[in-house]
Amino acid sequence: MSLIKTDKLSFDYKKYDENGNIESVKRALKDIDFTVEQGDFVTILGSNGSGKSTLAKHLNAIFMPAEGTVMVDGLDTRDAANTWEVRKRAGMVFQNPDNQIIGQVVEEDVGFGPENIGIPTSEIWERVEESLRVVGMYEFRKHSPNKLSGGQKQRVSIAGIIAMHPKCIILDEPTAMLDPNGRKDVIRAARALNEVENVTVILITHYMEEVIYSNKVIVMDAGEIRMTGTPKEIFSRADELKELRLDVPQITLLALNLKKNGVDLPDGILTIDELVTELKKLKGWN
Amino acid sequence: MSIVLTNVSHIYDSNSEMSVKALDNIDLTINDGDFIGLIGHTGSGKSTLIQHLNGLLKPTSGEIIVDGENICEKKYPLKTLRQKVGLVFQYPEHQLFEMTVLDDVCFGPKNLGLSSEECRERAKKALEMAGIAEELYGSSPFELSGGQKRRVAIAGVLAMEPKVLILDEPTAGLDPRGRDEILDSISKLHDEYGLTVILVSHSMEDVANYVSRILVMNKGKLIFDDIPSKVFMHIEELESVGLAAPQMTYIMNRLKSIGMDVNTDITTIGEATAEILRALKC
Repeated sequence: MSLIKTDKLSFDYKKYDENGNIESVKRALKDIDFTVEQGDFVTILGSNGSGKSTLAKHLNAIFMPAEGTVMVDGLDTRDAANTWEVRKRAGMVFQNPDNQIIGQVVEEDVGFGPENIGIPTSEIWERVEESLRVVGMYEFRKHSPNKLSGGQKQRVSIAGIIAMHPKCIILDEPTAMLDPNGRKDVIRAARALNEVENVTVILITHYMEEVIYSNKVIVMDAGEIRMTGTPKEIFSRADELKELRLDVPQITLLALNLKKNGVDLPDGILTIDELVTELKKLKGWN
Repeated sequence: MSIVLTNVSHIYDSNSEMSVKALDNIDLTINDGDFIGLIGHTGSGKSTLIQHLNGLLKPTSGEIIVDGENICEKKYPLKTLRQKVGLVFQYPEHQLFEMTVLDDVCFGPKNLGLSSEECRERAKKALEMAGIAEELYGSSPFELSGGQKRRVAIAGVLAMEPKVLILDEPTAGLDPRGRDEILDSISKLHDEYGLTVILVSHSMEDVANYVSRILVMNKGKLIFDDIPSKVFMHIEELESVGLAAPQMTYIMNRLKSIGMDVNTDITTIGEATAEILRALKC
């Protein structure tokens, strides 16, 4: 059984007039078939307004499908009786680090989630400690969140989710407001979660460099899934990505430029290491 | 119009135990026509610095001379300063509120006491500069895309006809095309309309691609002030203050370390392509 499975998922944003009558309907998701397996690291790409966040909000029962279904760990999100169970399994971290933290002290903030789902006190503290260690924020456990940097706050938000022991964490542009180090630390925390703890990660981002760690990428446009594949497969289709207002990582772009100028390189180079290896081969250095 | 900061320090909560020195003896001259990238990690003092440039904050010590006048003096009209130095905050589209795009951009000029005819003229010019098509003037700002909304908000500042435009992370949250479009428009404001531009950014690549001068802040101090290729040669120092060099600079350093005969003072993809091609031909 897949951890998450959407079947012909469609969703509408409705606009109401002053009398509460529907004025207009905009279809934001169209027939989305999307599957995530336990342990996947999935990245969702797409331009602003393409439906990424709308899809993400279906995966932990913030939104309900207008048509089709969303199953999370075998639970149908449309059934109100499942809402809390769904949210325990799939937690979400949003873009703005300042909107998600409520505790006066880091460890209290992280303990808020498990407390709400009725975990016994002694276990809450164990979970808080373990979660803060995973994201590298344990030494800040006694600090006030408002003295932390954006990247640190985002890692505290992530710890708050993992303290609930979810099977899946959904990160909706968690690095959009962060400086380079903050971005690096958040992505590192997400990778550690995925690789060490085997938590499924779903990442939404506009930074192409952050995509390369995922095993699966989906590209959305106008409410539909346009491409699915590995980072290498997706980033080998640079021209199509550009049409969808997206891009490829800087390294990939450099390799493409070199190729256009007659350098014999394969498609879909994603890292400095790959480029260096290829250039060494060309030079006959091994 | 130049802005000259001499020995500027700013201390938050100077009378309490919690006092923080957010700016520490800044000496800086911003020349007419500069295109500056301002970088630094969160909390390095960037925002405090830019808020001094249009009088939102006053220095605890030191002086700031704008267009030959000391803006720290009590009599200095801050309203004039804020017309000259326009500040576009992060996520400026959150500040849109009027029913139509044109009305929203008219709001600033209206507050200057201009006639509604003049306001509209200014708003139209500003919208054109910001790259908003005329068909959208009558639309609700809330129906626009993320990138368009942001342009409308920038137009709202441009309608004040500033000489200096400061933008705090104008590309945050935009998709790659939206990012390029906004940066191209900003570049045009500098190249074609002659504005002095200060771009606050967390993207080393964006800064490398567009600006001609970089200021690097750390702990309230200005630690570098130079052209991009020179600033980005200091990879270790930049990393030690939570920043980085553009990826192209890293690649060139790696290639050099494996014995390729390349220059490392390279920051953009165009430069890197040319340099690698040159080295491969040798």
